[in-house]
Amino acid sequence: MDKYLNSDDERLFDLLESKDADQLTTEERQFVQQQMGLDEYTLQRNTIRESAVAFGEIPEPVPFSVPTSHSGSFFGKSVPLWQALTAVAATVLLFLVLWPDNIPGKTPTILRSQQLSHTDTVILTQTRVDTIIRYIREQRETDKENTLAIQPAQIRMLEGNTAVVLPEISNEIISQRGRSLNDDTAAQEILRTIYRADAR
Amino acid sequence: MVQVMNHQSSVAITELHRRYSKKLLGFFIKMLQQDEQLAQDYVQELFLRILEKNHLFNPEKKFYTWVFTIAANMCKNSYRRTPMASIDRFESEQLHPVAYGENLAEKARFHALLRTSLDQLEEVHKTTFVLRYMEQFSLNEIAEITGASLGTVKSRLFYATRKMTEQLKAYDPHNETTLFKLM
Repeated sequence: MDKYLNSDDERLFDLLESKDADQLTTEERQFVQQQMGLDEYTLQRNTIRESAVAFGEIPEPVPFSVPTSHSGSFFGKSVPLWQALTAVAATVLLFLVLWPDNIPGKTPTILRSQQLSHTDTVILTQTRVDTIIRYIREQRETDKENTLAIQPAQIRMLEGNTAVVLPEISNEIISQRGRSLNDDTAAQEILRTIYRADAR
Repeated sequence: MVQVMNHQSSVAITELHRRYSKKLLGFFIKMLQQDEQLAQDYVQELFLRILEKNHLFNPEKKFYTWVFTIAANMCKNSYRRTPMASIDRFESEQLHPVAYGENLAEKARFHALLRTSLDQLEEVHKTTFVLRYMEQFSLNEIAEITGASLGTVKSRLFYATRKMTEQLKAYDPHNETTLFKLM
């Protein structure tokens, strides 16, 4: 029933909207007569025209009263008191349940730092003390032995008889010279003695 | 006006009611089987909806067509809940032959039959007929209000008029009155 009108029906529709039967041209009158008849056209035209006044005077509408809850409501909507109180109580309860101290598995900041520092100190102290003590002791003992071995000899030399007069050649031999044999007169004298003995 | 309503609801809605309430009341009376009390309630309900949902209005469109779109949807929902007018009422309006001279009485009777035959139409055809021939909306405005195409609106009007005249003719089959010759 809601299909689009064909061309003839659409022309009829346009005529019904605009012209009474006595306003039709001869050609239009013939067209209407073929499609629906002039009586039918007249009745439909009267129906359309009289519809505008068929209901007479419209009564006055009742004055509109703005609801009081709308003016002071929360975001334009009213909420019952018991619902509002329930929402507040639920919010407070949720806040108390989720307070940080009550979260399972979570410890205070101070206790955590004490545990960490105590654990670290124990491990490091034990390792360092063992290594260092052994090494130092051995070294010290070794040095001590060397020191002891050397010292008596040095002390004996130093504590030796200083009244004995050594021959000149001994002094020359003991005294430090240069490296070159030309500078060493004692060595030259020894060599001359050997040559003289061989020459005999 | 609707933008002002966002800030001053009470004053703006009162002004809108003053401008449009009578037109809307007339529309509801025609659509709701001439039940004036129900139509008054619908007008109140409609302005409450305007107050609550004014943010849904598109300022680029006409407020008038938007309001009537809401009104048409309210009537559509009403039709889903309640059936059409009973046949008994239609038969009580049966035309009796009236002499040609009593033109006013003929007209009154004709109008009564018109109102009754209008109630017999399907909701979509009735809405389109009322908006066009009683509320004087243009075809394009009716298309916007009902959400139908222009061709569909024309088709609905054409068949609605034909059906109403068929019912009118059924109550004067012998054409004994000058009903059909009103000028």
